[in-house]
Amino acid sequence: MGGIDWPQAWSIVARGIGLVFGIMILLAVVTDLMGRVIRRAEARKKAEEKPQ
Amino acid sequence: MTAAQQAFGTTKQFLGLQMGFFGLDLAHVVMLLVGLGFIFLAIKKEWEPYELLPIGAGMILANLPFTGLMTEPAAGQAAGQAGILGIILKYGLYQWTLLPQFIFFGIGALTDFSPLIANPRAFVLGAAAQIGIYTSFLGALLLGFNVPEACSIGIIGGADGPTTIYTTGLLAPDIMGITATAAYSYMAMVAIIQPPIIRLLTTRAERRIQMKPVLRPVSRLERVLFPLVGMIIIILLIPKSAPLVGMLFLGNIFRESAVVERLSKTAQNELINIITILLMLGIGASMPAEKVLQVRTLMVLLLGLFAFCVGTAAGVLFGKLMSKLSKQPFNPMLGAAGVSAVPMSARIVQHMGHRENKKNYLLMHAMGPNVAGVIGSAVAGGFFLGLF
Repeated sequence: MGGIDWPQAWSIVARGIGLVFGIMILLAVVTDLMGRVIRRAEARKKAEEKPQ
Repeated sequence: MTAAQQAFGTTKQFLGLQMGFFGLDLAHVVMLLVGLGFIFLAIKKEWEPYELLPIGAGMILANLPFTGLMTEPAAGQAAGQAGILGIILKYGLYQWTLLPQFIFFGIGALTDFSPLIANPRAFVLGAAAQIGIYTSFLGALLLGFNVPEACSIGIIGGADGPTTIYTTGLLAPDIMGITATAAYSYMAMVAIIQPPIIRLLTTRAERRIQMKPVLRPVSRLERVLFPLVGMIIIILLIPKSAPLVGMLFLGNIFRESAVVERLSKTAQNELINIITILLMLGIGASMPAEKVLQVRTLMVLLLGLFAFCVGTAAGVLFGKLMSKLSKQPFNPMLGAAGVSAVPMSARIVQHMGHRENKKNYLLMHAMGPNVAGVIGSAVAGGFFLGLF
């Protein structure tokens, strides 16, 4: 047990959890924004088509 | 010494042949019984038969002596010397790791990310359920495993077979058979492992929380852009996750583009079936008696189970947090689906929610964190690979 570099192990855990959460939150934000932009564009397109 | 004697060595012979019986020892017999047990569970109990049947068969073939099936191909080797299992192991699992990557391609072609696109908050639950990976990593270090082995054991907590195989194949090939079997076994036992944890961490009132019956519709453009954007972002941040994340999203682009239907259908059916046969045979073959019958094996299995339980618990606790913060009704059980046992975990959440409240239909809501878990565990695997 003396051979374990605990500061390094905790650093791996902290970086790993931070990275997974960071990437997943980033993906959530990008997906949400992408959805909003696309839905707005589609709604605008639909509104433009209606008068014709 | 004759050529036959050279080939067979000095072991006993019967009728001029070297028979397997002479090479059989107790360890082989135990492994043959374990292999037969897997086949029994697959046929009689129908427990993950697509996995357990070929794993059991591979285990039996790998533990029958003197077959040559496990001989890996090598430079300068005479024709016909390499065995089929040795070839599968070398190129499919250890050296080129082709098989888990192609499985991810098939999974991508099979996966509908719409529930996740419609509710991106589910990404957070997919991340929370990966906490089990890191707690088990620490546990493995504490029990004396080295860092690459601890990473491979921890990744079982993601409940993602191909990620476990890919990560272990590269970091700790000696324990790959055990970690892979543990991952698939715990996926098969989701219905036994998860409900007690969910019940322990939630109140009946929380389990009864009713959510909107339908998610918003997701346009084709969103479904096509999602894998492209997701793939680029993740791979730019963690290049080592590319073999898994890249193949997952590539398969999904084939599916969602709707212009290569034949290719998409092939990936969803014939390709994934062929790869499953090779992969599972390989996993079974990676468990010769001398590698498996050790105390370490039991520790790997227990640590994997611990990782899976902690992952489920972390997902549920984050679900509770989101339930408190959300303006809309949010059932905290959805967090349990953050482990990437698709679609078993989502079905458990649906079943438990419906049993508490007959008006509750949580399946589509639970599919969001469930597919997010697939991405989360691939990211975690890529992170571990990036350390070395």
